[in-house]
Amino acid sequence: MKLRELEIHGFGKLCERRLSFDPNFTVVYGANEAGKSTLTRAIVASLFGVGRKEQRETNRPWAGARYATTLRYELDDGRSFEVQRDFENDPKSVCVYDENGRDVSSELAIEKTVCPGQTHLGFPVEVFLNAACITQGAAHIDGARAERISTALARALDGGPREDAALGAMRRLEEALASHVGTKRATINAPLKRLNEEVEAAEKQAAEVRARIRGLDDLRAKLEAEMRRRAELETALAEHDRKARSLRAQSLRSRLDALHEIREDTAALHAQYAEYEDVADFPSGRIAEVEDLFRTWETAEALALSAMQIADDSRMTPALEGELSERMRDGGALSDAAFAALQAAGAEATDARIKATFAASHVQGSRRSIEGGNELFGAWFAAGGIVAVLALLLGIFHQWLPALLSAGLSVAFFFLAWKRWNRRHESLGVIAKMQQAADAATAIERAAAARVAAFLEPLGVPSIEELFRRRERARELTERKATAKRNAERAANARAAAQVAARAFDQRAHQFVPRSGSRAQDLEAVRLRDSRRSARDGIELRLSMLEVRRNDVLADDDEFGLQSELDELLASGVQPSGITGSQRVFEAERAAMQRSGGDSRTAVAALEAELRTAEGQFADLAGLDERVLMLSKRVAALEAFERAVAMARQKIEERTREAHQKFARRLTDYASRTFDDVTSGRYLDVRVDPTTLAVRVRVPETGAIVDVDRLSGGTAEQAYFVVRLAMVRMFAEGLETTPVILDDPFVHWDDQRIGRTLPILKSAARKGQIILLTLSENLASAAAAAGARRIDLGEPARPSRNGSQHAGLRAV
Amino acid sequence: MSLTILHCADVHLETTFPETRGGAARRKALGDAFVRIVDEALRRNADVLTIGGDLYESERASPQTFRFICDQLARFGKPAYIAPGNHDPFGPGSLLNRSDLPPNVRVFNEAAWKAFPLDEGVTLWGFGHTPAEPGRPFASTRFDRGGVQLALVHGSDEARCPPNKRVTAPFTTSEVVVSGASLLLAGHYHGGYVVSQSGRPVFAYPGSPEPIRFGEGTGHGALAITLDGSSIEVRSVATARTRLVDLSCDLGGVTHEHAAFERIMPVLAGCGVEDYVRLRLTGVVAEGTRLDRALIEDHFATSLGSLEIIDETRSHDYESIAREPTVRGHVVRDLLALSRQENSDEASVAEAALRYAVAAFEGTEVAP
Repeated sequence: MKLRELEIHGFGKLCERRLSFDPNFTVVYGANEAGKSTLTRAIVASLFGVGRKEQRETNRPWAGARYATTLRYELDDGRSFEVQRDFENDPKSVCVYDENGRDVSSELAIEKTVCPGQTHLGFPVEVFLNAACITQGAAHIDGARAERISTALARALDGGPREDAALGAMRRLEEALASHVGTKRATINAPLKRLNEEVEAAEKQAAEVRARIRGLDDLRAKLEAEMRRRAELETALAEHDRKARSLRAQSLRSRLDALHEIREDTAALHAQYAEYEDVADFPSGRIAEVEDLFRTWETAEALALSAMQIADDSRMTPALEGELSERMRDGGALSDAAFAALQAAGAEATDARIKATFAASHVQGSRRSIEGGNELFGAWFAAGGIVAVLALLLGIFHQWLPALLSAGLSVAFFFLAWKRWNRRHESLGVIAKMQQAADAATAIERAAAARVAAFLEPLGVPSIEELFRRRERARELTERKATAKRNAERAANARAAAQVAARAFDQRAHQFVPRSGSRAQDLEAVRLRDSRRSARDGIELRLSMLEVRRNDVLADDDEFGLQSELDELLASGVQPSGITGSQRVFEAERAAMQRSGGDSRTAVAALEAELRTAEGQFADLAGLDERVLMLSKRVAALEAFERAVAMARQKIEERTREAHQKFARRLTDYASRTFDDVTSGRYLDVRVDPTTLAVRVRVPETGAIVDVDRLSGGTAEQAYFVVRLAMVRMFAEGLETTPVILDDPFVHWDDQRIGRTLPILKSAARKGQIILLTLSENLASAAAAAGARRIDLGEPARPSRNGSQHAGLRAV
Repeated sequence: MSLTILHCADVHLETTFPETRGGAARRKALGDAFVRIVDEALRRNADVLTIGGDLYESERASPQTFRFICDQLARFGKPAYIAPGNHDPFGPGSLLNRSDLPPNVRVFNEAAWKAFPLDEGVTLWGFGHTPAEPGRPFASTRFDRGGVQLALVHGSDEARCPPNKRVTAPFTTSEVVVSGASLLLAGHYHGGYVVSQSGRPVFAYPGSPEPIRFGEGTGHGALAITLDGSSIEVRSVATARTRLVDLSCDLGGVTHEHAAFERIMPVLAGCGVEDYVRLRLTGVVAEGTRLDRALIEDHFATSLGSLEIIDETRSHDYESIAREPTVRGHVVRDLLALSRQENSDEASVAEAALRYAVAAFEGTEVAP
């Protein structure tokens, strides 16, 4: 595609302009605010539309001119088109005419939108902006658009539309998977999941039916067991009946035997009973009373004898009576108070005598001490005198030290003599006092002794001790006399009681037996009669018991009836055997067995009914299994579909990736060659990532491959610039020549770089179309000198305040 | 001494038919076939009825199955011998283990040979399956009763095992001959045949009385064995009323749906309501030709037992697409190569993937 002419009726600051482009190289010169960028946007908008409302409003003409453009271009195959866009009301309003004036808009529609740029160039606007449209300071490639750019490049490389179809194919495969299989997360549209659930439900249903069939086996086993039990019960009942009849016969025979035995026993007892007629009147149960009375009498008699013996032993003899009279005349006559006074006088005399003896002894001892002291005093005094004389002599002979020692010793002897003297004096005092005390005690003794003697002499008792002994004897005899009296009274009482008891026994015993003269014999006679009476009572009791037993054996039957029944049983062949157990127990057992048999029959009937009902209620298990298998088959088909689609998708992806790798190699090749020229051989190696379109270069100093954004801003812009030119070249080779619009991309470049770039632009312009917009007069001149058509935009446009409209297009 | 035996096997009552529609009708057809076998036994005044296993499928057997079997065997009235197979092995829950089986029924209830005298000088040896896999029934086996010794077993003739058929209780012709068996009455293979040696039959499969799966052979029925002295005559008795038909229809060059129906119609012309048909559509049809599988099935199935369509047609020349220098061309080339591999699983997946990939590139419907 080569742009031939752009008519701008109104677009941003530009209005009523007509620009004719050179088919190869055009340079548009204009100062700042002259409308260079607006022109770039007008070209893009003419080709691809303006997009969103905000963007449309940004480019609305300032001067109120009609918001419209007309672009004419020519394709590589020689076809020419005119694109008329009216942005006023509808951003999508566009008419495209071919060189014959035919409206071909509908032929250029892509999904209801007429987009001549995308249709004829083969890629969308974002690819155009990131490849062929380089604006000031924005040479880098937008990574977010990498996928679309890559697609376009891959298409260019393949020379057809199939790459785009690959993306669509993958999308369609995913849609098919989502629609027919369902995604893993899908809950509503998830056919595979639903099928699996259906399979699971059908399997569950089949498993339930199988479980019920297994349950039938259990039910059948139960029924068989119950039927066996019923048969066993019936057999057992028959056997039981046989045993019961046998037992009945045995029971009848034993009852009849028992009745016979009772009858015989009764006759024998009646005979015995007659022998005890003599005690018929003897009252039963009185023997205990008689025996009690006998024991009472026996005890009372023993007590009376014992009391008499004691009374006899304690009786006062005449000697003892005489002694008591004598004692009562001496010691026994003395009152206790008089005796106490006598004892006190005795004690006082004794005490005074002891004191007098002590004082006399003490006086005697003191006298002996004084005598010894006198001798010691003399010795001490003499020794002192001798030593004093010695001291004097030694002093005379001026023997001072011995004299002094002798003098000291003499003093010591004199001191000891003085001490002994003092003690003698004190002892003499004590002796005097003790003597006085001894004298006083002696006087007291004499007085007391006189009082005692005065008391004892009339009684004829020699001493107080003798008096005391006689008094004790008198008391002892008195007490014995009192005891003898009490014992005599007790013996009399015991005898009286024994006589009463004897009378009581005699009175009772002689009611039953005649008097024999001996109470013991009487008692034995009573006992004998009582025992006979007991025997008679025993026979009576046994007769009663036999009667009771007879009644028990007969119960409500009569003996003849029993005999008839037994005869019948025996006649029918029943043998009374040795079966143990009672008829009643047997009957209870039979009733229980009949109940069990009835229960078993009911259980069998119930189980049979249950089995019949259960057997008639089964779903078609084969049908259920078949459904499971058919659903599983559908699941398998879907899974196979999933696998096949996954394989198809994987292959498409692999091949798409390969295509990307191919364009990346060619892009790298083209870019590296150009970058070499632009940087004068400094950078030889440019690499482009096919997925992200990230550009990296090899740094000559380190040899490392680094991201281009880590280099200087100018170098990075150069790198992006050459990569974009390489893209455009690839588009031209594979799709359609793409016009390159350079909106002052070199504003930050130095002259040397620009100088090196111009030949590249010139070279690129030979194969395609370059539209360079610049504010640099030098660059514009240089480009013009290199063969570019120069267009001057002139003075910056001023927005019209009154909104006046230009009369017509102004050709530039 | 003359004895007539009717032998059948592999009735497979209560089996499932996931390959075709109309499973319930086909199950009824199996029951009908067994009734016909009993009818035939009564008609021929057979002395013995032998069943070589798989009379029913135990995993789906219901009380009704038991009642049906009992009715039929009781109706026959004469001795019926059953050697359980791998689908109805003798076990605790087996129908053949029920105490209320008719009194004329004898079951070989263990995986070992047991003998029943059928007549003077004629012994029937039977070998039953239990839930455990039985091993080789004829290994080191010698039948030593003398006279005519018939063997009854559910097992696999190793030399003639059909594809995808499970081998159970295997044996060879020589093993049967060496064992001393006069004739082996076998069951397991659904396509019946008789193997003879030196003009004498060695063993015989009656086949299933009705076809059950596609590709299992043609002989379906029972065998009538006549013993006269030492001579043994084996005759086939056909019982099958239904057919499993595998057909193919080339739709090459068809450009529209109507033409496809016209091509299919004569192919199905010879089939009727007792035929369960699997129709494989092949060939390259014109791009965009609508082939609605469900519609074709609904249209033709009314006059058939059932119809299943396997659509293997394609609407593109894959070889020419594979030559394109595009991604599509590369993809088709790759998938074609994979589909021609020997690994059948991956090849079949690749074949389907090829169809889906081309449809996806074309923007037509991608559906299983």
